[in-house]
This record gives sequence, structure tokens and C-alpha cells, in this order.
Amino acid sequence: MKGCSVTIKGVNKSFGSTPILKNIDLEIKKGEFFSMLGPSGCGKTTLLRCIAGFEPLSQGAIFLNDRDVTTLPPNERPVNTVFQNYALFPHLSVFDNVAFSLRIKKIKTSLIEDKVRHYLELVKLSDHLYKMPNQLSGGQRQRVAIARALINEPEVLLLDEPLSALDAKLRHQLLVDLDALHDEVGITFIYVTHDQQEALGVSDRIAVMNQGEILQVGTAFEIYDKPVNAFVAEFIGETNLFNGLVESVSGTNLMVNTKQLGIIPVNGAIPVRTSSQVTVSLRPEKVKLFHQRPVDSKGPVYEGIVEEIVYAGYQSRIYVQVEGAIIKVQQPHIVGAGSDHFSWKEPVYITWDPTSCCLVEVIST
Amino acid sequence: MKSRSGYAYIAPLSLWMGLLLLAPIGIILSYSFLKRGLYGGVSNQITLEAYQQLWSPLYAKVFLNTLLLSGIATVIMILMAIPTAYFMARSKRKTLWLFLIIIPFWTNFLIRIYAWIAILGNNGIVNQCLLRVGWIDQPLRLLYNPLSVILVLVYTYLPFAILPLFSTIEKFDFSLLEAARDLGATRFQAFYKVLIPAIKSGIFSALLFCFIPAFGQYAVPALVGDSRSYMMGNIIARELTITRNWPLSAAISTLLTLATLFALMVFVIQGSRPARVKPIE
Repeated sequence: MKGCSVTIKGVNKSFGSTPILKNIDLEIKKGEFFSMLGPSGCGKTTLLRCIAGFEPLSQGAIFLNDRDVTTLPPNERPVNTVFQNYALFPHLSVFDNVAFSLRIKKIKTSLIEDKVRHYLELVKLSDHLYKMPNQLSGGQRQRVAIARALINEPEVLLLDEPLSALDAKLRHQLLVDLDALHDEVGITFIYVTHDQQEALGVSDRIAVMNQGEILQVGTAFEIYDKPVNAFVAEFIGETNLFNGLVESVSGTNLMVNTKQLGIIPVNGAIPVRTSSQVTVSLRPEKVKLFHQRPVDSKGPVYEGIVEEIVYAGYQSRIYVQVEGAIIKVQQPHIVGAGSDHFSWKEPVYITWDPTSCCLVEVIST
Repeated sequence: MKSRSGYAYIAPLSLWMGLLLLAPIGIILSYSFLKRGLYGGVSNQITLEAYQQLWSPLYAKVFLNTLLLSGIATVIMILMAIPTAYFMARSKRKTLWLFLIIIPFWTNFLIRIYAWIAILGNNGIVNQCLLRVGWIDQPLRLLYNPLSVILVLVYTYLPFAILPLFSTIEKFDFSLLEAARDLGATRFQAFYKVLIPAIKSGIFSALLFCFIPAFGQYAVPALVGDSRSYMMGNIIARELTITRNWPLSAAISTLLTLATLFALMVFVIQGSRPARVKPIE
């Protein structure tokens, strides 16, 4: 707990009799870019609002830099929030919006002027000092909101789905900017999003949440490659999930009897016993697709039929009907190689490296 | 053809406004410049006599008194209406509260004033209760003073302050208050620096709807007031019906209309002014 920027201890929150957060424990390190990722209604925004001080806890405690802030009102907490709808004050100019917290603190006018200019430069808005919020574009409003929150020099910056209202291209640009800004100011960022691409792209660590619980905390790589359960595996990126019984175990090499594909080799990072009921995951980008039966594959080979092709420019998502299952396959488009073209209802062969199929959850032993 | 059909649309309204608003005002205005008739009415002789009579300390005093009573009542109404409207706008039972606010309009205005006499009079509910409990030996004089006039004025026009404020606050984005709290503002600072500027137009409409009718009130001071709470409306009535000085009564009405028009213009200009762009302090 020592040296942590934010420590959340046994936090419970219910609205009426509906539990929203269930026994949340979390430690966020100083200077970390930490994301809370989950589907809508999973409690991630509520957790953020608890940290900001807008929601009283039903149970538990929140520490900021080892100081208990559980009962402090929002204006006394050393955190600032970038709201989802920006929440810019419509009656104040960009300058006055950013200067708001400094004026509350009764800081000298000349100092306010300097700081506001500095922070607006940081978010590249120096040319729009005296515009009103309704004269700005969505992306510009977003950056005003960030400058307004940062100028107060919070210990932690809370970002509540800050990019969700922007179009995809702008979102990418702002995400890169946000990452650069994080490096520049060096404070802890807590970023709430339902978009796994955003979270994977910029976070040092990610907490995956569902139904008021934190399922997994880890780096983007850990969460993508070693999901702790089927929900995380399916929520982060795309995957093919199969349920089956463990036939044999030798070290981390398992053989699992699945209903859809029969017996397949599985890489098992979690200790498991024979005849356990398990869920295994196979990422679509790890499945290889061939026109002819591959001769040198180390993994299992299946014959199937292309059921559907979803074209996405740099790649296609191809659904292949194999025995009793439809397998999602991601097929990159390599310029000049004609072999990556598949057509509808074409008979194809799929295979994958034996280590690509991972054990994600032990349902019962 | 096009433009003519446009006139046809506004004809009913023009007729209505012309006959029932402009014509009476014209009559009042012209009467104020005529000589007083012997037994009321006017004689056909143009004079400024009425305005000379108007120029007296008595009327100035009543004018200021009217301004003061309706001004105080309006301030109280706004101060009461903002929290009420805020509560209503955030409540889940908005329709219920709106319904309750509107219920008093089902009863005639005069009857509601008489109800206050029943409540505050010497044999009224308040005095009866206090006497029973033994806190007082003889009834308090709660009626027939400036305070009772202010009280009943506030009671009468409070819904007109609540309704426009409610409709503005309902459109207010309450996350702005959270943003202000987040940026270090106390609850009061958030209200004062964010909510109040955002609902400015509602406050001005409330001011208009309350101050102007309160300023021209006649029945309230006549029924629950005394000589200290005389308002311009009462003077007009007295000159018209007792002294039977019609030109003077018309002149006072003209003055009152001008004063109201002036207040209206100030409010409208203030209310429609765009938000300040220069830094606030």
C-alpha cells in the first residue's frame, strides 16, 4: 500500500438494494496510466466517481497517496476529473473555464494568466483563449476539459470515457496526445473506457471489470495473452471459445476433448487435473487458412467451408464452418500474394500452432 | 398575394390587441391631458393640471412605497423560488410538484386573500393557537400592516417565479455542478458561480412575472394593508371612485405604465445580454 497513488480497499457500493461494486481491492501506482475496462453497466464509472468523491461508499475505504479520503467531499480531494460530456461551463470562455479552479483558490491574477496560457499551450489550444465552449469542436472541448482538470495540479487525473463522443480518427489522434501528455505531466491517470483498443493502446496496466467486480488486473500483454477467464478472453479482442474435458496432462501440455472439435492440444498455464471441465480460447489471428491441406503443420488440421467473409481493408474476418463449430479467422491481406484470397462457400483447411490454443478457465474439477 | 395572406394571419391578434390593449391605453393617456369634470368624468379641455397635481410629495411617497413593497416581495419570491424550482427539477416526481404548484389557481384570487384574513386575523387560526397555548394574552396584530401585504404578495405571485425557474433549471446540466465541485468549489460556490449564471434568463423571467403584477397590485393592500402599505393601485382607485378626479387617476396610470415599461426594458435587455466574454473575478 505504501507509495501507491490510489489504494482502494474492500469498496462496496449499492444503489438501493442493487450492488454496483462488489468488494473492490485495487492498488494503482504513482505515475501509472491505469485503465478500467468493461462493458457498460459494469461499475467502472461508479468506481471512478467514488474516487472523485461524488458517490459515498457503502463500505470500504479509498486512500490517495496513503491519505484516507473516504469521507472527504470532492472539492477537498487532490484529484480532478475529465467528464464524459466534458461539462464545460457554457457561460465562461475557454480561458475562464481553465482558470476556474485557480480563481476558487484565490490565486493572483497575473499568475492565473501565466498558468492558463501554459496549460492551454500544453493541449495546443493557445489560439482559442477567448472563445466560448459552443464555438469549439468536440475535440477542442475535450482538450479544454483536460487543461481545466490538469491546471489544478491534481495527484491523480480521472478520465471518464473522454473520447467516446468523438469520431474514430480524432479518437486515435487524441489518444496519442493523451499518452504524450501523461509522459509530460507525470501524474497518475485513471482512464475509464469500454473500448478495449483504447485501453490496450495506452495503458500501463488495465483492470477488466464486469458486474461490479474486477476480474483481472495486468498489463495489456498479460490480459490479452493470459486472460483469467472466458469473459476476459472474449471481451479483450476476439476469440473462439470451446468447452471440453481434460483428457491428459503433461506439464503445460494438455489434451482437451471438445464437443465441437474433438481432442485438441492446449497450452495450460493454470494447474489442472485430468477430467476437469475447462474453457479454452483460440485467437482468430492465430488460425491459419489454406486452400490445400497443409502438410507440415504441427497442430491439428480441419477441413471446413467459408461461411462468411467480413472485409475490413487491411484484413478480413472469415467465418469457417468446421465440424460442429464456426471458427473465426483473421486473414491479413498481403499485397501481391494471391493466396490470401478466399471466396464464399469455398472448401478450406485450417490449422494452428499447438501452443496457440490456451486454457482460460477451469469450470469444475 | 404572399404578403397579404401573412396579414390575414395576424388580423385576429391585431384586432384583439388594438381593441383591448391599445385603445384603452389611448383613452387613459388622452384623459390624463383633459380637464376634470365637475362630477367625475372629463370635460373637453386640454390641460396639464393632472400632471401638476401628480407632482406632489404624497404621490412620490406612495410611488416609492409601491416600489419598496413590490421590490422586497419580488426578492423574497426569487430567493424562495430558486431552491424550490431546483428541488422540483431534480425530483423524480416533477409532475406531482407542478400539479401542487398549480392547485391554488383553481380558487379565485380574492377568496385566497380572504383566506389569509381568516388565518392571520384577530380571531384567526394563528392567534387562536397562540392564545390556547398561552404564549400571548391578547391577539397579535398580524394583519393590516406592510408585512402582511408583502406576505400575501409573495404568496400570490410565488408560482409565477417558480414556473419559469423550474423550466430553466430543468434544462440545466447538473454535471456542471459536479465539475465545479471537482475543481475545488464548495457547494455554495458551485451554485453561485455555475448554476446562477446558467439560469440567468429564468431569473429574469421570474422577476418580470412577479415584479410587474406586484407593482400594479390593488386588491392585496386594499384587503390586508393599512395606510402605510398604500400602493399606486389604491391611489388610482381612490381618485377614480371617491375623489372622482379622473384625469389624475389617468395620469397616475400613465406614470405606472411607463415605470413598468421601463422596468420591462431593463429586464429584457439584461436577460438577453450574451454571457460575458471577459474574465470574471
